[in-house]
Amino acid sequence: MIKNYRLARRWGIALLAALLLSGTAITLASPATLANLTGAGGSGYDPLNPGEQARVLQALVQTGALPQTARLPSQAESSNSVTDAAPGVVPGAPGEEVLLVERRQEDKQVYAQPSWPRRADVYTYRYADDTLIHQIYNLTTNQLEQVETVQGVQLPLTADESQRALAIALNDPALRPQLDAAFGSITNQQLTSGDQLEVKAMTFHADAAPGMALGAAAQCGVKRCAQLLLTAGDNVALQIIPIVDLSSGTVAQALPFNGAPQ
Amino acid sequence: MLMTSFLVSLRSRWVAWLATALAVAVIAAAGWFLLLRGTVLRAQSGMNCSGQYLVDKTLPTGARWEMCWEHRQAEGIVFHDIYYTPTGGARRKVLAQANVAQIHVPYDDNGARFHDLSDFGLGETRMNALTQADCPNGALLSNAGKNVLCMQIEPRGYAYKYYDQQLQGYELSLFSVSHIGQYNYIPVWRFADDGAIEPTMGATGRLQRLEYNASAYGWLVRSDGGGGIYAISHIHNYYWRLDFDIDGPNNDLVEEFEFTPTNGNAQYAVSVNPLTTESARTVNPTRMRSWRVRDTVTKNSDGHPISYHLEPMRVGHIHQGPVSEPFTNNQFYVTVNKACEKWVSHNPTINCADNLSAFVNGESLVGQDIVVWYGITFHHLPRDEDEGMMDAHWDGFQIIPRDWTATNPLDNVVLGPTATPTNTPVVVPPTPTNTPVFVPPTPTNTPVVVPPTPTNTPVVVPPTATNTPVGAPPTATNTPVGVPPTATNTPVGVPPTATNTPVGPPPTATPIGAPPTATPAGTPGTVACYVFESTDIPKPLPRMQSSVSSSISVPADLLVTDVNVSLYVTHTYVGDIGFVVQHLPSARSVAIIDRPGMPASTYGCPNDDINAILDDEATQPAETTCAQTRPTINGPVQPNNPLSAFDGINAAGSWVLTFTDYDVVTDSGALRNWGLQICGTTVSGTGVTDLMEPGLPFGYDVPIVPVDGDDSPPRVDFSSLTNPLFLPQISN
Repeated sequence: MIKNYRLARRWGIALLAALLLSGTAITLASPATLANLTGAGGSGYDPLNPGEQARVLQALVQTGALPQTARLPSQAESSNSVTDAAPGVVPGAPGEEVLLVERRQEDKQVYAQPSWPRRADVYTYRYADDTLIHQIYNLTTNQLEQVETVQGVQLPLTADESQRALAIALNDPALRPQLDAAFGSITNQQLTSGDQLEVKAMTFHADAAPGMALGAAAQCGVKRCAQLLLTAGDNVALQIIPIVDLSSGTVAQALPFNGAPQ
Repeated sequence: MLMTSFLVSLRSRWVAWLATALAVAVIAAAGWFLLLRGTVLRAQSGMNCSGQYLVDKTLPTGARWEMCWEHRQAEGIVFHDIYYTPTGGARRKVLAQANVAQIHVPYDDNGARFHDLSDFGLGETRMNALTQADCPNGALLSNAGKNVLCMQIEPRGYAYKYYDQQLQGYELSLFSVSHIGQYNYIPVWRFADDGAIEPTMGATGRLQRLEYNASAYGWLVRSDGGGGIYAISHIHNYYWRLDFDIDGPNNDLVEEFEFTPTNGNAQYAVSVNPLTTESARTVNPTRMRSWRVRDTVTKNSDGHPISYHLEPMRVGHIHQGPVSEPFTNNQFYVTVNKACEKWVSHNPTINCADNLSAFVNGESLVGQDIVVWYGITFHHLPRDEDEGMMDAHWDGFQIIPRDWTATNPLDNVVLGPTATPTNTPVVVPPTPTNTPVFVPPTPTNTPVVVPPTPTNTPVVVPPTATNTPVGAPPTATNTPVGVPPTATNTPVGVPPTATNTPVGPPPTATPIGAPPTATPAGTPGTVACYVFESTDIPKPLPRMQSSVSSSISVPADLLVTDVNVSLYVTHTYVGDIGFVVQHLPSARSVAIIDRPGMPASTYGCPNDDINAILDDEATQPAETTCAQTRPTINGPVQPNNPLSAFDGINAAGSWVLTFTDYDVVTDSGALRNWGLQICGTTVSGTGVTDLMEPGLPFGYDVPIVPVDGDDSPPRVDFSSLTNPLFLPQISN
């Protein structure tokens, strides 16, 4: 009993000390630091902090505004080498991919007010019908305020999309021999893993290669496509840019560098 | 017995209840205080941003710049509400928003036509984490724990010169770095004391495209067994979006200036034509075409409308692309402001056009809030010097005040006497992370007294003393080069002569630019090391929660000579997590661990748990440690950034450890324990008795086990974390 009492007292003292300390720390901290530490919001033009971004996604998933199957954004780097998937294994596309959660840029009339609500733009891509879903979530009122959809709008790739695009390219039976040959001519080695390539991936629109994007690649922009910039050896570019249609999970085209369709 | 048990139970509950009630009260009070404090701070500054996102700098010559900045995925850094206060003049708004709006890179062989800002993005993972080495003499500003912006105050040479009268000017510089493909882009914004704003873009890194036998479209840079390797020529079309709000959003008018040759080119007649509808205009160097945005109401004391004038600078290269790139047909655009008209091409926003040329659709500008877009072209024919690391190349333009003041506002700045050049004006001591550079505010009532800079003054360089990393803050015993010279530290350079007569009265104010002293009051005693353990642990960090923090209060004054951090964390994927230690009173912070293994590998170290002592003197970097045992980082390791940033401060007060999970979706963990080992000298008479005994053991006994090889489901049992008294064993 005595032990229980002491335990309770220690509980109480410890809790009190912890809260007093955290209260002191919070009181001394700057508003921005506080926002990051506590998950509370920044103010005005301050970007959404990670806590706010997580809160928005959590609310959308919990209320069913985002399906449980949606893949949420990863903070992993997407610009450096992408680990090769196991041979023959291409990760499947999720039903929906959350592309971006960011503070909403408001109209100037809103900024003219003494204060304005803190709102987030959430962009999610639905591959099945190539639709970008735009949701506006109000963090001040915790309400989903608006949902709109559009086609033909492509935001930058997520890290997961970049990884999937490389896996699709490396496992494409028609493209792989070309990649092997291009890699071999630069390095005199055999391409056995995506780790041997320096990879940068970005979204691809057909209008970025006028006269060259043919066939399935001509639909890029309407479809969600990735272009893979591949280098090997001492920074020598492979003379081929794979265009991967992430919507269908196939290679749309292999663009050569010499300006002529291949 | 039953009664006793009941009473004890009652007392236990009462104590717990009381503690809870008190705690709630404390939190509520702190919350209210913060709410009020935040409101007051914002009201005082009048700026709609907080903390690091607010820039408010008064330059040594008295001019002041204020603005907010924001980090965004596509644009990178965006500036909001830019105010300029000329020396001795009125504070007025210049721009509501300013940012890069596209980097369009078509290659000469049509092998690639990149839209970097929209299709790759300048922000998020593409934005570099800057270190003090990137930002010599400057301050690093952070977003979500990553230093993304370098803020510096730089000399810009003569503000003016006339006979013996001269003034050295200064500017505020802010830049970030974005890694796009092989390129590193460096958007720089300079805000000068004469009101000029200079948006600039640097490009460096590595060449993006090298090909065999591409002589028609490139430049031979090397050869190997496959033949000649050519770097493909390409174009950088840089575009900026400038939402002018000259003295507010209303009453702005754009005028085009042109000079028409007459009288056999002997004379040039000026014409000023207002643009009253949305317009797309080319540069015209032979007519010296330029533009200004002026207010139709606000005038300077001469009765002239205040304005900002856009001067094209690089006009040697003009690019007009294929029909699919109509935005390249012009360089200057003015449109009615719409929030969804954001980017020059591949504009993604719903309900707006796809590109800038389509934003120009005949809308009247009269009485509207207007936005100016400006683009410049650099055609890059690579050279051998671009091989290896590409030589940085720079492009930009200027917007300058026209009739903002009735005369040169820097005329009000009075030169100090040349006989006693005891301080160089640019004295920017190496600053710790996240600390603003220039502390002293300049009184707005001029004259501003600035001692002249001796000729041939060397560039101020941060110290590189033995055992001190470049950019580390100065210690009490290690005076860096660049600290304002004392009476015994005469600046190198040609001393002023008697013929260099000063203008104006001798200085009566404290010289501007003097750095804060690092030494607290008191007499240092003997160096000893003290251990301070956390008391508010453990701190679980479940899925969907991005960060958690813990505080340690150091009760007594202690002048720091060395800081080490002990850290015991369980987490199922350490490549996702980072830790920042912050000392609140000094506002210094150090990122000690930052996603180990990233970006060297795509996803970082995949293994579990950390039981480490972060010590600058350790030989193994935490960043590259990833053992196949658990804890995967174990024992003494070198932090990502040196803890010597805390050297020289007074350790008293709250220290906060922030534990961040950058991927809240998949993994989870908990902060089990952490502590500080602070070595230093006590400051006599101030709380020495509150210090713990020196020489306590430091670190935790945690068994080392093989990696379980399974990250899912999360291994952490949160139910085991409910006991606040959980403390791992302290080892020797």
